[in-house]
Amino acid sequence: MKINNLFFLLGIMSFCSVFSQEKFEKEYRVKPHEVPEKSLEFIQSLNLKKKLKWYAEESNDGKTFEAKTCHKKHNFSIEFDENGTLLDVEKRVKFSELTEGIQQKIEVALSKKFKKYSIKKIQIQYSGEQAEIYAKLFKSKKSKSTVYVKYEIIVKGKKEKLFNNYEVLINTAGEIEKELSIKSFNSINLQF
Amino acid sequence: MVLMSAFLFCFVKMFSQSDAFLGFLPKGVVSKKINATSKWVNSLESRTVVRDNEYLFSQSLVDISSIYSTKTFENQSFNFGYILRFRNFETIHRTFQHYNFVNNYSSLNVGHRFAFEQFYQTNKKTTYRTRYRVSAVKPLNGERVDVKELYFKLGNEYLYDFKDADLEVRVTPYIGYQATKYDKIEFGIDYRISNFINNSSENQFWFRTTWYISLD
Repeated sequence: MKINNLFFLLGIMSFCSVFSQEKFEKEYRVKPHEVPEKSLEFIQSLNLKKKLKWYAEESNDGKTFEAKTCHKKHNFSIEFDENGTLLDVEKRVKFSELTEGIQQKIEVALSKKFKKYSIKKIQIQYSGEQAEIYAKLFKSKKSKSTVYVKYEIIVKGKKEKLFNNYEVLINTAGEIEKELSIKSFNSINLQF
Repeated sequence: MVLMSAFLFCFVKMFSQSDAFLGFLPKGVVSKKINATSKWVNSLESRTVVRDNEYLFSQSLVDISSIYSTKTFENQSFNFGYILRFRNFETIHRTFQHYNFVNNYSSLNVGHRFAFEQFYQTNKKTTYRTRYRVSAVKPLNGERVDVKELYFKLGNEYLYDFKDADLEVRVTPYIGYQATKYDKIEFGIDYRISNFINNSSENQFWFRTTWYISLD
């Protein structure tokens, strides 16, 4: 039957496309022995009680490692560079857990940017001295000025006609430092 | 877990029947973005029966479909489509309407599809069918499906034919491969059990492969 020949041709074309060039970006699970020793030592020093998962992310910009866990009812994501140096720690919180002052600053910043919006996810991002982050987040000690705090927010926002998802980074002064449009997951295989 | 149990139940039940259908279902789906909120999706599907009561290796049918899909919200869409089916010496026309919504969780994407279908055939009354499908995609490594990565997809669909008052249930476990940013291919089993209500169940066991191509 002719139709079978057509599917054979489609199969050949698919095989060829598998080997075509793409922008490289990959995230995958890794085992503890595959991550830099320095990052593993830092994680072990935290004495975390809950299960921890390691991920590696490779892109044209380089490779990073990320440890994800739950600590004191908050999801934590701890990111390191290829040498095991701490890049930042992200702690997932509810909007209501932020101080009133920060809540207001975030609301003002987002209202200026979007006609309508809803907050889907907030993470407090801590960067700076590793020892200071450790003391602030995991030993509940007061931090020095060497710990920088920002708010990474996933927003469902409307600028023109359509809602879209955005990743917005806001500093403690309420200024938007970064805004990225998040391309929605290609769900064609869940729809057709 | 519930879906896996349902699949195992159906699998065991199928092999206890001697009249099970076996066959291949290759399908190609090509989508093209029209504007920010809509796209045009075309597909070609063939059905080859490997074994049934009478035949061995026979072309059963060919479906050609064309769908207009429009987004209403960021994760919701309506589809309006037409399928032309060639089966033996007859031609069946079908129109359908879908409502979809997709939820994204940390490493799981779950899609729901509600459908209503109308079947038209010369010298026959128009018949109607409704269906609901839930499917989930989970990457086999990491939290998202990247290019050149495998994923697992599990679907469960319920179809009700108003004319025959028949319920059909489908369970579809697939392994998918995101070949490039624009195309992915899936292989798996499409298990169907029908005539539930009449208590004379029929089993169909298809090997399905679907190639999704995006021309965006």
